[in-house]
Amino acid sequence: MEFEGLAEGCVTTILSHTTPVDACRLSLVSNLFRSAAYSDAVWERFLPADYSSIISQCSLSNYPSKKALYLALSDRPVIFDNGRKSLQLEKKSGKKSLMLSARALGIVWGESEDYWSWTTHPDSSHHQLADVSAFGILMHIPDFLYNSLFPEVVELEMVCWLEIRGVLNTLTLSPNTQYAAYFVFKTMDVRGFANSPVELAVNFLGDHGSTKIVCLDPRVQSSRNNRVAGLQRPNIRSDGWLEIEMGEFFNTTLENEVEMSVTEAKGGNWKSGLVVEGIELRPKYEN
Amino acid sequence: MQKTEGEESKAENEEVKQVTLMTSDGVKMKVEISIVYEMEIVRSFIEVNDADHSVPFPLPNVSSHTLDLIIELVKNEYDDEFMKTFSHDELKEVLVAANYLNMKTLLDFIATAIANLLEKKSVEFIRNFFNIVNDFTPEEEAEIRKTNEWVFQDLDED
Repeated sequence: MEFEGLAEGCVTTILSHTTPVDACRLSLVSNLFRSAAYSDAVWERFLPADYSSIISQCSLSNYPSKKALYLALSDRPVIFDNGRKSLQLEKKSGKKSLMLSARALGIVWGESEDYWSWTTHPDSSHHQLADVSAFGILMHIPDFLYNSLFPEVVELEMVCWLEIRGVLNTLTLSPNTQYAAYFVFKTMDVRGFANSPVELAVNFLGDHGSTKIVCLDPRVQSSRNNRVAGLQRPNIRSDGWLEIEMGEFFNTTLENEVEMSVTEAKGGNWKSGLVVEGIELRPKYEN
Repeated sequence: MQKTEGEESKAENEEVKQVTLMTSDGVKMKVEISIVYEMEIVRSFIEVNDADHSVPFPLPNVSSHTLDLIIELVKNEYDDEFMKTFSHDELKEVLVAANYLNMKTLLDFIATAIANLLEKKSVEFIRNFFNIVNDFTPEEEAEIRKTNEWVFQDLDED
């Protein structure tokens, strides 16, 4: 049967109900499809609903199209909320990964210099890493800051009571998505964790949620017969930081508060040498 | 598209419940005004011209069969089960008519259904589905593959 009159508006509406991958793939169909597949109307749908409020808070250059903006947001994280959070889109789906920086977390004793020390980057709009590292040698900036996304990180000088807590409104994440939370950190002459299991918890406010017991010290031999034997250890990320999964949850479309915590207060021994980048939430898939 | 109470009572006061539409195959169909109001193209004409509803409003791009399907979809509040009985040709005809009549809810509904149907299908399948001829030169095709390299990396077909 002859089929005519397929207007670009029809194709645009169809493509806006597919995925970023399919929209790009189907630009190969014909000129009509390519034109629709590159249109702002389609990519506006793939961007998060609150993208304009987020990008108004970060120093992004102007992008010629919504597609270019989408690709920029998926290629590397952007910092918003006064340097306290980062956002990156998963390229294939457009789903959000968010990281709460150390500044966005609640850290017990975090404002006492004897226990935790904050390091601020001299150039808080830093991102020209090459320039900054040359500058850093002169300024004696600790190495770990070079790789931080954020203008500030915090280093654990020493505490007995370790408690770090992050809370996030679930509406800021992508709906209908399984998320996992990851504690992102580094160790610098780490002490006190080799024999101290740490509790990681993820729950909605007021719910029990899930807890797990891990070992944050990546150097401890798993064969060693001690209290952390056999416990999960952190993995190295592509950006050089360590991460360990804290737990997961399904984010519906309903508003809720998700709470994530890192706690070690049972052992009572002194602990030191963690550098905290933040807590990251990103989509998790079965495969 | 929601009617406001004012519009509903106005319709009742004037005892205008139906508008006559003339389809491309020359069939005159009386359609409830609440359904006609979802068709922006007809609605704006009626509102601007305060038209005489007994004069058939011509829809040269919509067949009586397609209009029947549209009326049933709207009456059934966009029932997925009803739409699943549509053939591919009927889906496409409703799509084009919804775009022409500027029925935003229907266009979104039908576009979502077609998007689901086309999900992960090959480019060739899409061309066949819409009866579209590949109008790219080999150079243009190569350019598109290059621009969207991240999409085509994981695909070995097409």
